[in-house]
Amino acid sequence: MGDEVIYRATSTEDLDAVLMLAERTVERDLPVGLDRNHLLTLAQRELRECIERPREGRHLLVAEFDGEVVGFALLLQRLDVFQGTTVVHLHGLAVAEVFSGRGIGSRLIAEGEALARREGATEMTLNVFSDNSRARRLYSHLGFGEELVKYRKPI
Amino acid sequence: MQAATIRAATGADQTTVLMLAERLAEFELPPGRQREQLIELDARLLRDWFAEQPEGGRLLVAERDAAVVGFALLSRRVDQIDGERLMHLQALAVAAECAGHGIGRQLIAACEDISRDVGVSVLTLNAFSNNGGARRLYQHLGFDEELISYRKRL
Repeated sequence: MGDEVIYRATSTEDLDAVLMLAERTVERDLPVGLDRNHLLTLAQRELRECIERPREGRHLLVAEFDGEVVGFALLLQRLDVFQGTTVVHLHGLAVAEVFSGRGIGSRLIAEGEALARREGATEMTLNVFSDNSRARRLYSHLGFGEELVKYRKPI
Repeated sequence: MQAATIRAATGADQTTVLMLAERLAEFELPPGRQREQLIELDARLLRDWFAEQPEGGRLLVAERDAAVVGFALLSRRVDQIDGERLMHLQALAVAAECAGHGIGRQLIAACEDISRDVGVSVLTLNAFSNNGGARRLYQHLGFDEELISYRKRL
């Protein structure tokens, strides 16, 4: 493949491709009690909102290869609950299956970090399901540290 | 080991509960977190509770030999992902001299009873990743890890 992957902010033409890629975020085993279709609907609603109604503090970056969107990262500005400082939260990340393992996710995160720094954020946060060990390895490798664990008990 | 009595907190418990709350920050904190900030955040939650006693929120205390030796703060929440109603254990602390006496366990059992009584079938809580003692207790009591929050300094 001679062409390079391009990383850029989203535009309205990306909508369909991004909504389809969102399925990647619910493909793996989910914690008990979570409904796949419901999660997908929520994710797609957020992505559509982000593309159709751009707003300060909300960014969707896409990775494009050969004219196709092959990955995205959704970033939201937030306040740190403990310190009141501005952080950028990686709210969603997906890479097309055929492009997985090529560092596109890492590069999307790096682009997100650069964007966060430009916005004056000193930290990036993200949440991941506890049993998603592949993603957790990637985040540790990229310098993210575990901070909080959310527990749940059916009673 | 003598069991504690679990009861609803009253205004008279405020001073003791706030003192006990400093226990909440007595573990090795994650990098970049300040003990004072953590204590202040918990203290604010508790002061708010004593000031407003919000509907659906509960503050329980564990009492032994007429002394308050632990507390649990519960609040009603709605799951961010699927909208399910749940109870969230916002804070749990036991006096250092009573650690290992099963008082945390008693408080959690009482929280589960209250949750059931109000028709909620899920109890959630957060623990700092490096608070190993608390995490072992929660796992032992049947809590499952669901979500992990990560953080990176830029």
